[in-house]
This record gives sequence, structure tokens and C-alpha cells, in this order.
Amino acid sequence: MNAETWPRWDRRTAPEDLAGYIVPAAVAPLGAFPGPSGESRRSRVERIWEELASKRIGYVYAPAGSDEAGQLIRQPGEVLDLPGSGTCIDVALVLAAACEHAGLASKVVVVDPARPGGAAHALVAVLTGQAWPQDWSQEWSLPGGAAGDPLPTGALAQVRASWDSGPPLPVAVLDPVAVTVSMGTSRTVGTDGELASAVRSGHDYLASGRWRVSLTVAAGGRPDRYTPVQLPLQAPLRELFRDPATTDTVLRLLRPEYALTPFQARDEVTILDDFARRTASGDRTGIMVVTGVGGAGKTRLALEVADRLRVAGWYAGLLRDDLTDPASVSWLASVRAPLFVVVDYADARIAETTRLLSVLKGRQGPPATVVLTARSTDGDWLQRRSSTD
Amino acid sequence: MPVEFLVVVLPGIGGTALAPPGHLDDPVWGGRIRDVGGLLAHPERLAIDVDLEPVGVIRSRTVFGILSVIPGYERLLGRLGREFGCAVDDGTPAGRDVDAGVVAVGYDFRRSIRDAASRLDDVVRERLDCLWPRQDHRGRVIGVGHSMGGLVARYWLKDDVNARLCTRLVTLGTPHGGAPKMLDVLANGLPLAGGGHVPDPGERLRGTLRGWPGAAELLPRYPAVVDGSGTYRYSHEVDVGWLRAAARSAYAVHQDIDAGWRGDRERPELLPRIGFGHGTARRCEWDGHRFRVTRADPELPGLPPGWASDRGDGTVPTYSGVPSEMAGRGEVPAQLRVAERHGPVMDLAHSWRLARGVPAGWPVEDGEQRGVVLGLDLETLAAPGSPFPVTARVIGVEQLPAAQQVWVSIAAVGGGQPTSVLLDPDGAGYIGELPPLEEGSYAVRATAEAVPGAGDLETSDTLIVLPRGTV
Repeated sequence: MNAETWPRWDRRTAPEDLAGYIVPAAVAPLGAFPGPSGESRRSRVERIWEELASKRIGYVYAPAGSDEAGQLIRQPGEVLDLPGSGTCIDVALVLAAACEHAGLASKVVVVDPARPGGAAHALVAVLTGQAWPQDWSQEWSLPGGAAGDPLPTGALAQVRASWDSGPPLPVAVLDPVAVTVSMGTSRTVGTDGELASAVRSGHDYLASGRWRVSLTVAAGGRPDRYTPVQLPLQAPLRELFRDPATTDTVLRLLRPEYALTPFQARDEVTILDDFARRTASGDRTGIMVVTGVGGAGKTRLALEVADRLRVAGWYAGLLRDDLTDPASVSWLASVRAPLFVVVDYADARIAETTRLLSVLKGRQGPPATVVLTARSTDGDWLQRRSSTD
Repeated sequence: MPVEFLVVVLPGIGGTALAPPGHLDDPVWGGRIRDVGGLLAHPERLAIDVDLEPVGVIRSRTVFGILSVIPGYERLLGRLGREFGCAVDDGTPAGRDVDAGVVAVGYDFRRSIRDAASRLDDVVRERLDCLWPRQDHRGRVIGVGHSMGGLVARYWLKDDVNARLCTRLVTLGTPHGGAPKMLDVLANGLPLAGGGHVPDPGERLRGTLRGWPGAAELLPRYPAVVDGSGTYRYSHEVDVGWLRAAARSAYAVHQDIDAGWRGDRERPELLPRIGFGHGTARRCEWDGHRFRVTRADPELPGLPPGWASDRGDGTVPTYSGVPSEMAGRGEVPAQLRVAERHGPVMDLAHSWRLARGVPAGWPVEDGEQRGVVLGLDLETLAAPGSPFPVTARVIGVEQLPAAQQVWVSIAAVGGGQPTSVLLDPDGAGYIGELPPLEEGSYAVRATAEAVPGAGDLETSDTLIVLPRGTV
């Protein structure tokens, strides 16, 4: 197994390593998840589901990054808390970990479209009976692109088609998308938060004939698991927009984060958005300086772009100016999600900016974009930043 | 890793393949459905005077064990091998491995457990000398006996010289007190799901089985047979020609075991486990002409009422799972009762870990000493082509919610579409009917989910549907 603590997942050469990202010890403290007990397995699944649904995890379509070395997997803290979003596979791994913590056996099941071309999907098979039926008792894996039907013929017959009615078959296959929320403007199909939908959808993936199982890995299947970096006590980035009801003076409502006036679309948004996306698929941190007189809309522009990126699964926002714990900024290096950091009035925060950029140089996720807003490019603040870098 | 123990696994009746000498790769008995058909059609092939040799435990996912259906021994052997970190020898002559730390010892189950114990003795001594040459072998042996296999181990361990070799014996579903079902089999034939017995014209099958000392040794060894006057007698006290002598010899074998294990002589740690709560043949009636063996409470004199309501594991009454010296001392072995039925008890969630002994603070696991069980009334041999009833009962819960669902599903072993039946409440239990099936082996699974205070209950077993023409 890779020596890195939370490496990319190399599906091509070591698909079974996926089990290493199922980390109950790291997931358990991040929510009110049930532990092992004599309580009915069904009600334990329901409690896990409710807890995950309450997290309102944003559903992200594309992986955080993927290259020759493999696919980036978000750490549980990113999925459940900061920024609280993930792909189907990120959420599936968290769900499987929560099941394992509750004493429920589970497997992550990766399915590929029967016709080549589309994206893979991940499901979680949970054992709601006493023991895996014969056809589910082993792990299987197809090398990428291999033909064949690896799902044993009897496997589907043991899967519940419905959560609330019908015979208590021993396996429930959950579609993790159902526990997430749609972040885009259009609603993602299946994100209604209902466990019953997840069970129906999971069964349909296996039954439709349009998907084929290419990999299953059991939670607890490998003793050597990866280690995610702990969440910092203080989130390094501020919430993008604030609820106007939370302000104490009316004057503050004019600040960009309350977004009380509609945003005028402008080309800079497209330029900045495009710059950030290109940076993430490149190989070094991108820095952009936005200047303008006070009130011109520098911060609002950056926030609008951040919001667009957040919807696409980025961790994006304003760097807080009240950070007391140095671990907060260091943690940004370990975030697997693409990263977009706005440093407001950077001309007055040179030390912080410098530290941020040096942290981001050692980043493990895709290269970050840093937007520095400033009243002007006058003075020597940019040079001073460059010379210390 | 050096081998620390010799773990000896002894299968139950019917669990060993038997082959004619010189034709060891062509067994007459393999416990498969085909063999059951063969047994019914040509029982004389297994008559006691036919010379056969044991050729390893049966390698099949479904084993017809005469008294019950067994889900094969591979899994238990494999798990023991992993638990003890050593190689496994399943006893097949071709697969002999002298370095194995887990060894299955098959035996000719037709013969007396005396003979089986003597074979066990040969195997153990040879293995000990191979594994640890020129050493003291004290405490090196751990025994795991399923059903009749537990009696074989007990017989061998009655001698001081053998007892000192052994650290621990686990018996799973062993009828220390015998099984009334064996009396039913010998008197009336193999019982069928839904009532009745496999037809046995000319009593050919029964004639063969009555000649097996090994079968007689599974008869109740307590006064089990009640006559019209309400008197309880030993089997050998009933005036029936085929029974009397065989039952008396069998009783003598049990007395030998008792004598060896009685008193304060040092014996290995004994961990008996047996299922409870399942409908089990327990009451034996004799009307002067015929035996009638039923699942009714036996009303045995002196048997405390709790033991009667424990019922049994579907084959052996729970009270029979207590070895005589423990019963004599009024001692209930700790964690005796488990949820699993007679065949599946081998797959008891931690049977392979039991062989290591019970550590202090043993966690309560599914099915272990929970006090609640989903009891299933189902004979595991069925006729083809006709539906048959199944009843279930939750034991150990005072009041079940009206909405409590109890399901039974059945699917062909090896992967088939399960048919699920929602049972109807019926008095204290639940009742339903399984659909007609054709020849084959089937996995039966009964479930009661979210039982208040008990979580999910599940009971499984394997059912054999006989070939057409045999029933």
C-alpha cells in the first residue's frame, strides 16, 4: 500500500486499495453516529442515514482530481464538514465507515455503465441480515474495461427492492446520492434525502442491466488503512454569504457578504472562474490580484466566483482574519477538494498571505487559486511578498 | 509460526465419507442428495456388515446427516485454521498433511463410538509424534466435536492418559443425553417436513439403521419412553426385539463415559453449546405396539419446567446438550444455549474462537446467551412437489407488537431467487406455508426484525428435498 497518509486511489493497478479509505475512527467523531449495539440493524441504518442527511452534504459530480497516479478521494472531514461536499464515491466511503462504526458489515460497490463512456458510480451494500449470503460473501474486481458480468447471478436476489415493505432480504444496497443535497440550480435526481429512495435506487442500479459491478470492497477488509488529516478547530475560510439577520448594525449590511444588492454580471467573473479551473488542472498555485477603489466590488466579485466554484465541489471562500490556530491554514494543504482562497485587503495582510502561499506550495489536492484583493498595486507590498517567497 | 495445538474436529453422524477398501476414491456414502437417494433405494449398501472405510469429512455444502442436514464442515475447518494460524487437513487420504494443526477425523459412524474413539486415538498419537517428536504432549490437544463427534471425543477422554493430553473440548449440538428423534427414525423412518415419514417398504432402511451401534448410541439415555400408564422407561426397558439389545449396549457405552467423567478426576475444560427454542422431537410414547415421537413437552419426571420450554435445536433437546456429570451436579454450563439449530451450530458466530477458550469478559454476541431466539419448527427433509407448513415462535420476549413481522425465505443453495413468505400470527407463534419444491438443497432463513429489546432475530437451516420416486 502507498506510504502516503491519504494518497490518490489508483483504480487501475490497485482497485482493492479503496477499502483503505473507509475509516470509521475518523468518521465517528464527526457526527452523532450510532455505535455497535443489539439494536435492530435496520434502525441503526436509519440513524446513520438521518445523521448524514442532517449534514446536508453537497453532491459533486466530478472527482476532485484524477490523473495518471489515480483519483483524489476527499477526506471524511471535507465531506461531512468543510466544505461539506463530495462525489458519490467520497460519500459512499463515509457511509461505509459509519456503518462499520455501528457494527454493520458493508461493502462499497463500484458500478460502471454497461456501455463504455460514462462515469462510474459508487453504492454501499449494507448487511441487514446476520451473514452475507453466499453470492455476496466474496469481494470481486474487474480490471478496467474488462468484459463479463461479475455480479453472481444470485446476488441481486438477496437485495432489498424496498426499505419499508417486502421481505427482509439480507442485503440493502444504498445509493449515497440520495443522502446528499443538490448544490446546483437544477435539482439532482434522487437527492431527496430519503433512505427508501436510496434503497430503491441502489437496487435499480444492479437490476437495470445498464450498469455492471466492476468492484466491491468490504469495510474492514484491510487492516492497513489510510489516515486523514484532522479538521482544524477553526475553519480557515469564512462562510461565503451571511444572513442579513445576523448583523448588528445596518451599515454593515452594505458589506459584500450580505449580498443584499443583486450582482451585476461582468466579464471578470468568467475570467476569474476560468482561471481557477485551469489552475486546478495545472501544476502550480495560481495567484490573481484584483484591485479597485473601495466599494468597487472587488470582494463581491471574488465571492461570486467562490460561490460558483463551491457549487462544483470546491472549498472556496474568504480567508478569515481572526485565525488563532496556525493549524487552520496548514490544513488547507491537505484538502483534497479544489481550493479557492480570497485574501481580502491582502496589501494589509502580508505575513498571512505569505504563510498561506507557502502552505499551498506543499498542497496534496489540485493546485489552489489565491485571489488577493487590494485597493491598489501601488507600494511595495507585492514585491515584498515575492521576495519572501 | 510453530503449531501450538493439535485441533481435532470430529463430525457428526453421516458427516464422514465412507468408501469400500481398495476404492477409496469412490465413496458409497458422501452425504450428498444423490447418496440420500441411494440410501433410500439401496440401504443394504450401508449395512453394518459391509466393509467400508472413512475417507475424510464430507466436502459438500449440504450434508445429509441422517438426523439433520449439515451445512458442510469446510467453513469451520477454514476458520479454525485461521484462528490457530496453521494448515488444515480435512482427513481425505489424498490431502494428507502431517504438519497440519487442524485435523478433521472422520470415522465410520455406523459403528460404535468406541470404535470411532479408537480411531481417534490412533490419529491423535500419530499426529502428536509427528508435530512434536520426543516431547511430552500434555495439553496439546483441543477437541471440537459436532453432534455425535462430541460423544466420540468424550469417550476417548474418559481415560486419564488421554485426558491429560487435552486442554479443552467444545461440543456443538452434541446429544450428551441422546435424541428422541433417533428413536423416531429407527421406529418409524426418516421424518418429513409437514408430517409423516419417508416410505420404507419392508423396513429395509430401518432394518439397516437398526443394525448400526452408532445409531443406537444416539438414542435417549434417560428414561424417555412413556407408556399408557404414565411410566417412563429407558429404551432398553421397552419390550421390542430390534431395540432392546442395541439400546442396552448403547447405554453401557454412555455409562462408560459417565464413569470416566464423574467425580473429581481431572478432565479437560468442557464447553458444550446447543441450540434452543426450536421445535424438537422430545416426547416418546409407547402404546404397546408402536412408538409415537412428537415435539410436545416430554413432561419428564424431575426435569425442571425451564428445560421443557427450552425445546431444542430442531434435532436434539436442549436438556440433552448437558453432559451427564454436569446434569448430575445440577450444573448448567455457562452460555450453553445458543440460537443456532443443529446443523448451523457449527457456524456459530464464534465456534472457532471457542476452541481457544472463553476469555474473561466475553462479549455478548449475536445469538450467544441472548435469551431470545426465533424458534423454527421445520423438519429438514421434505417431499418434492407439495407445499408444507412452517411455524416459528419468538422465545424470550413477553409481548410482541401486533405489527411484528416474521418472514421465512427459501432459496436454492448456491444462489437462487428466494421465495419469501410472511407468516401469520397464530396463537403464541406464527404460521405459514412454504411453496412446493423440487429435488435439491435449499437455504431456509427465518427473520423477525426489530424485536423489542432483542434487535434482529434470524434463524437459518438447510432443507433437503428428496428426489421424486423416493417419497
